[in-house]
Amino acid sequence: MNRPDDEFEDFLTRRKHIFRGIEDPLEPPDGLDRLVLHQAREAVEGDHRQRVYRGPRWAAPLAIAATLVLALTVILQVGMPAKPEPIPEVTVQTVVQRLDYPAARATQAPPANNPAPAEVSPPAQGAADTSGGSVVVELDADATGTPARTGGFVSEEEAARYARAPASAPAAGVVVEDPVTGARTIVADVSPPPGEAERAVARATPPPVFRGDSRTWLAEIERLRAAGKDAQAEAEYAEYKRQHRAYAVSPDR
Amino acid sequence: MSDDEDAQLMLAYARGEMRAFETLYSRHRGALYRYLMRQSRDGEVANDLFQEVWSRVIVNRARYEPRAKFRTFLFTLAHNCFIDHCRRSKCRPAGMGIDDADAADLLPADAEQLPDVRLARDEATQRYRAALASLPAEQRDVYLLHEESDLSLEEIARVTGVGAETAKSRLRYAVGKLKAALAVTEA
Repeated sequence: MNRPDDEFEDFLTRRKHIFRGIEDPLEPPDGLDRLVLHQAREAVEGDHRQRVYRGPRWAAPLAIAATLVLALTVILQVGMPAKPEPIPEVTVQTVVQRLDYPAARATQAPPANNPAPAEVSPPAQGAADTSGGSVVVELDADATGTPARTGGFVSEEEAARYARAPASAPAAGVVVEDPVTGARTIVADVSPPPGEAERAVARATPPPVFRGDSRTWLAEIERLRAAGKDAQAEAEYAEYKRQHRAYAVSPDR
Repeated sequence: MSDDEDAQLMLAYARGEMRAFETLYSRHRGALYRYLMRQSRDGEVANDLFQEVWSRVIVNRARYEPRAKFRTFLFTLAHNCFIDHCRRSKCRPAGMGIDDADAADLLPADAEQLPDVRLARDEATQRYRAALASLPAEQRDVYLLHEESDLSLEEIARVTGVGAETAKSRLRYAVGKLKAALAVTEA
């Protein structure tokens, strides 16, 4: 005889049917079957429709990133253009040989009330002489800076005095009286610092003609190099680069 | 029928093979419908719940992972659907008996059977249904899952959200009460 526990264990392991002979064949209605199957089919077809337009998962982030990079590039290129490199001014001109003719001498005597210009004019700035590191101001000069003269042509003595360079400059602050004309001058000390003299000379020297045109200048640099004057060529090249800062490459190109 | 095969069918359906779903549906439609019918004891409700369960299967096809038997997955959905239905309709799933007229309506007519045999069978079925309806809901749930879904005790426990020992105890009580009810009726 089976104990109830054994019978239940058999029931659990499905080795025994407790309610043998009872059948309850319930089935879902056909309409319900059709409804469920139709729903399942529609879901699958909807998937197919979506898959036509759906790319891989990484496509959307990649597309967004690419669009951003492209937009940024366009903004940088168009919105903030790079500073245009200054193009060296090139002017085509006809180089005319300059001929310096000697100054024509006056052949006719000027009228007495209209004196002719002097053949030998005093130094620049009229009454100021910067030779020897001093400026000599002539106290007896008139308002225009022309030394007081008696009129007519400059005498030979005066011309010789101007032509001669002073052997030694007078000390600063000293009043000097000209023994010939009797004009008194005071000497002011404007001695330039060491090295300034060379720069002053360079400033006073007019720039060479070939510097007026970039092409001519570069051609001159090439010529100096070809002639073996490397130091001068480099100096010219440095000056060229200083004036044309955007010119970053060698003129050899 | 292999559970692994069910899982493969479900995965195939998730890839878009409608034929796989049809096979899967034909395998489980009867058991699921009986479970819901006996739980709800209402044809309309059972139909609605049946459709809702399969709708959830369809919707969740892409997320389905064969970590457990497909039957476990299916009857877990059915169990949850029935619990949700009880909460919505504020009905108490326990206890309500099924009247004989409703039970007779649920029986399929079989004209080929002899009248006395059919009568005897109908009476036995009615007694069985009545005894089943008189069970507490938790015991009936465990018993129906055992009978219809063919799940093991551990799987039933997982579906109903209780321990295996609790499920076994409920099943033992359900079987004992059914036997007693049918014996008394027969006597």
